[in-house]
Amino acid sequence: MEALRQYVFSIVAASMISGVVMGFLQGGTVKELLKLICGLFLAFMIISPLHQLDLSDFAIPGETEKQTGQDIAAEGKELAEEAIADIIKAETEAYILDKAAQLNVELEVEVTVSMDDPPLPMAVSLSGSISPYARRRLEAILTDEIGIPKENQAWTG
Amino acid sequence: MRYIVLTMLFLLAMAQPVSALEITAPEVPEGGAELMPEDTSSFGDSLLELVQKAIRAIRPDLAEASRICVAVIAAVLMIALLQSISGSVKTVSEYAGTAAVGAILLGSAGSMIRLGAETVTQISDYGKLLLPVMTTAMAAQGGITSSAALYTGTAVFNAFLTGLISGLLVPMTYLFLALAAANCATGEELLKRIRDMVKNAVSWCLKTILTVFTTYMGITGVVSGTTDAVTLKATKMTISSVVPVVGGILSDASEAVLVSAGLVKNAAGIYGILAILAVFLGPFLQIGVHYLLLKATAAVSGIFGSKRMTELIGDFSSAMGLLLAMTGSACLLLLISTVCFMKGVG
Repeated sequence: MEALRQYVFSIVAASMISGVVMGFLQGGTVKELLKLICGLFLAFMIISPLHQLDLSDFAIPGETEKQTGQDIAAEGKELAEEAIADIIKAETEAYILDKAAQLNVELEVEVTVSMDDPPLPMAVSLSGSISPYARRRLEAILTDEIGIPKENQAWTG
Repeated sequence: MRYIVLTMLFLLAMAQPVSALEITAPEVPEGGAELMPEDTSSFGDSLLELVQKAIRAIRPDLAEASRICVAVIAAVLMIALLQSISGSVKTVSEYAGTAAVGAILLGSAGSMIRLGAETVTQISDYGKLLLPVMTTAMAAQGGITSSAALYTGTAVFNAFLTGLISGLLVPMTYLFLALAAANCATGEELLKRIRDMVKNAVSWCLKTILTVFTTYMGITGVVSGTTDAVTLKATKMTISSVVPVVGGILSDASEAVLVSAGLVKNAAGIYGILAILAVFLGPFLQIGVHYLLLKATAAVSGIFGSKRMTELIGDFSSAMGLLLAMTGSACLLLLISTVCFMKGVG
């Protein structure tokens, strides 16, 4: 800012000096010549500091911003997938509990959801007392309706 | 009763994760905190409240600017009297007039230029915080390609414009004022031409950047929006091809998250727009008041003052106009970007 102040003052001072010099002369060739010299002097005062201008401060950015944008967008996508996975887990567990209740069985259910795109139920662990008939029915529901293969169904209790 | 309230609070707390996404707009910066409305649920009401607060806050500046303008008119009047009494001291009186008007206006112009530059920086800094929030929300809504492209474009233009304003355009405004003062004192034609060139260069820079930015945002919105729409359609087809029960659950879950992301994005966008305006509006009105009063002062001075002095006052007004253009451009850039993010997936 100090350099800028100096620059502004130098232009004002230079133009005032030129004005005073021009004011003392009456006319003729000498005045014309002085007018040219004063004009050149002013032009030099205005243009001379421009070569010191540091253009690196406002260099066009690009690659970093592009990468950051892609990273943030990927985070957003991941956030949405996690939210979808949470809902799928809760809804699937509710569905299984509902089917178990229809068979008069009380169970505790824990569904594991894959983090693929789209996220799907991949495994389940069930605990509670259950008759062989009800278990066969529930296994069929888990395999056919929810798509969890038999080897990924863990039964305890 | 206490149990009912506690149960309701518990249920409300449990209901929170159903909104699925917790993305909020960054808090309004200190500069705009005073003007920011308490309740931002209704955009129209909030905007009205914001404008009312800004207009109320401008009153002290209006009085200060009026005092400065009266002082300028008095100085021009005295110089005009001096010139009419003795024609032989015309050059001296022009110098004296320039010095008087310059001394009166330079202080306020300097503080307005600093205010303008600070406002641009504050808007830009807030934009750096708001952009990732909008990008995340838009990506969660399915606009992965669009959000990344919009983020890149806005971040690049925001950084470039802020750097350009603080590194080049603000110094050029000082240069413009120096040339105007020198031209007023000497009447040198060269100075006048360079002064006009500086003014045109600043306006041209701002206009070009905004035009290029708007074009970029328009084209990017269409191109990447189409890509995202195709991806979303493909995802929906994948969902419908999975096991019926899971397909239904998956479809409902995706819909819930998309709607939730849309709501979150909208809320963050509205808050962001209001926050940007809260930062921008106060300084913009302050500079605007100086701009208009200086224009009026130049008109009044034109009646009895010399042509050069009237021109100098007009130039100070033009410098305020350039500042308005700079702050306005920085604000408009972020507003356009936020609206593009809010528009959603094409």
